[in-house]
Amino acid sequence: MIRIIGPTLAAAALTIGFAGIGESLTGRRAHSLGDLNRAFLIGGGVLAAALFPASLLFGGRALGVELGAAGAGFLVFWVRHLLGSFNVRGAMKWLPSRVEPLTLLLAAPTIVMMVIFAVLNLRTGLLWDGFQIWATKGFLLFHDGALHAELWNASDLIGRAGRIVNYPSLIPLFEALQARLTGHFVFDQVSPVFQIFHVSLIMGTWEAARRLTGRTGAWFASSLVALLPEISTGTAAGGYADMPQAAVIAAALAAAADPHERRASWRAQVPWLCVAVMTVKSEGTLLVVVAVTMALLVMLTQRRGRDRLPLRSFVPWVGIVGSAFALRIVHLAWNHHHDDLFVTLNGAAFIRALHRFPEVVGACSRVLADPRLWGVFWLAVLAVAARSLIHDDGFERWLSAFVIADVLVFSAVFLFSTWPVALHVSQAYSRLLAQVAPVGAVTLTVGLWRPLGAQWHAEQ
Amino acid sequence: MSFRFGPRATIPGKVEVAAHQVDRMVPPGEPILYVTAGKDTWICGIWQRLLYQRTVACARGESPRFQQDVRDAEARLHPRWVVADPQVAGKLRWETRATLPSGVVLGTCAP
Repeated sequence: MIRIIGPTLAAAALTIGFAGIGESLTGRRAHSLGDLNRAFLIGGGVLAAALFPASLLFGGRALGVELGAAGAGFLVFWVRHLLGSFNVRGAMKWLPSRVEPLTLLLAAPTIVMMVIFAVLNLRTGLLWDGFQIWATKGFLLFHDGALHAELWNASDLIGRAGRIVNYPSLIPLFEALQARLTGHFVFDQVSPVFQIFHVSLIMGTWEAARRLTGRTGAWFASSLVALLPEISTGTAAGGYADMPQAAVIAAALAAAADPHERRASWRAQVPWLCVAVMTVKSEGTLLVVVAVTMALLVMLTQRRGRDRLPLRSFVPWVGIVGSAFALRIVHLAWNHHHDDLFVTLNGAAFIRALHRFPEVVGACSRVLADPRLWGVFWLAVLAVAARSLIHDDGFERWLSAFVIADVLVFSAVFLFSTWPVALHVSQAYSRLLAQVAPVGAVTLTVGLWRPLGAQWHAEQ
Repeated sequence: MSFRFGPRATIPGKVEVAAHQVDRMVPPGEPILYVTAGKDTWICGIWQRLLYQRTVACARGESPRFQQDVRDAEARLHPRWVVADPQVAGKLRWETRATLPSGVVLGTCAP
């Protein structure tokens, strides 16, 4: 237990350093833990996106340059917050404002599951991807100081290890920077990184739901997410990147739910958080494309014209997200490493997909409705989202469209897999769903809480 | 399940000790072929990371691909030094071999 104190302090310092960068970029000083969470993810995302160009520019010194940037962020954060006054009341928005039995009842599962996750994460070693992919990328980054086009000499000989070079960098970067601060990379000491992301996930979900439903609904949504086995146990505790991906998506959702952050400015948090989403897992890029497509569709089919926003004012957002997208494409081209997990998209692939369609639908449906994995979570989310898609407008409609599209897109990828359908779905689908579980929880909370909350308040 | 059955440490202490013994005995920079008795590549991954920045190729002794994996490694890396789990050491044509205190077999093999 004592061995983990150093890495925990290092991870905490890096969190502050990332937050300092995030605050500087968005020009918004954190007044609450939710603000701090979003600033941390923005700073981390930008550093991760910058790692590839930094590797080209500085070679083996790239990690040192990134550590320097995080150090500067750390100093800027403290100077800004010590010179200004930290809003303690604002920061405490995270805690229940007064002791209401219902709020306590809803908050209790969140707190219990956070403790359970912490114990599991510290107690168990890394599981397959946590070790072979994510921590390995961090380990190599720690030793080499930069990204390389090949994992190591002859890494493609066995185990398809070569494809790891294509994976995005936020988690490995965090692990490598933490190791630089402690002086050595120990695989069993990367746990604090995941502790931070688990807290971040709960905070992001809480904030997103609070903006849409209020404080009690926020605890309901955060408990829903925390109680999901894919989020708080198993591979999430074993160092996989799906839970951190969910954390960044939750924070992006919280920012998007804030009308102030939907302003068309390059300092708005939403586009920077979209960049962060693209730096955790490869699927992040796909999710950003889905989110933008659904936003455009909802805006174009808006029933209330007064909410319609002029698209051309979003040029700064397009610039930020487009730059990150371009960097990702160039990085993949530079690696020149074909991932044999999916077939090349051509006419034959689509005909093959057509034949696999019934099998994919069956396999994905079984996972979605598996009571041991998800209970009735996804069935309820999809039912509520379908209703909202028809009856709601604006942000709630986008939320429903986004969650439905996520489930469909994540199912559709298996049409183009090179693996047998049943095997690939059983290995990956549940983890893909975990990435968008906060979106599902907030959708469900909005759908249930508004009518229930209104009735409850009316009875009071 | 994770709490009860999950591994307490990612890298078993026994493997770490064996890798350090091998690293001390094999000349620096020499690539190594590691032959595992395991069914998957998990343990290979551990050896590759413990001996980094030395190049370690892997072959699974019980796999139908064993001979092919060895040929691929020979073609790419020409490894003279081989480390093998004792259960599969008999599958190799050793020139010299010694069993280390940690139980693994280290030696050189005929091409």
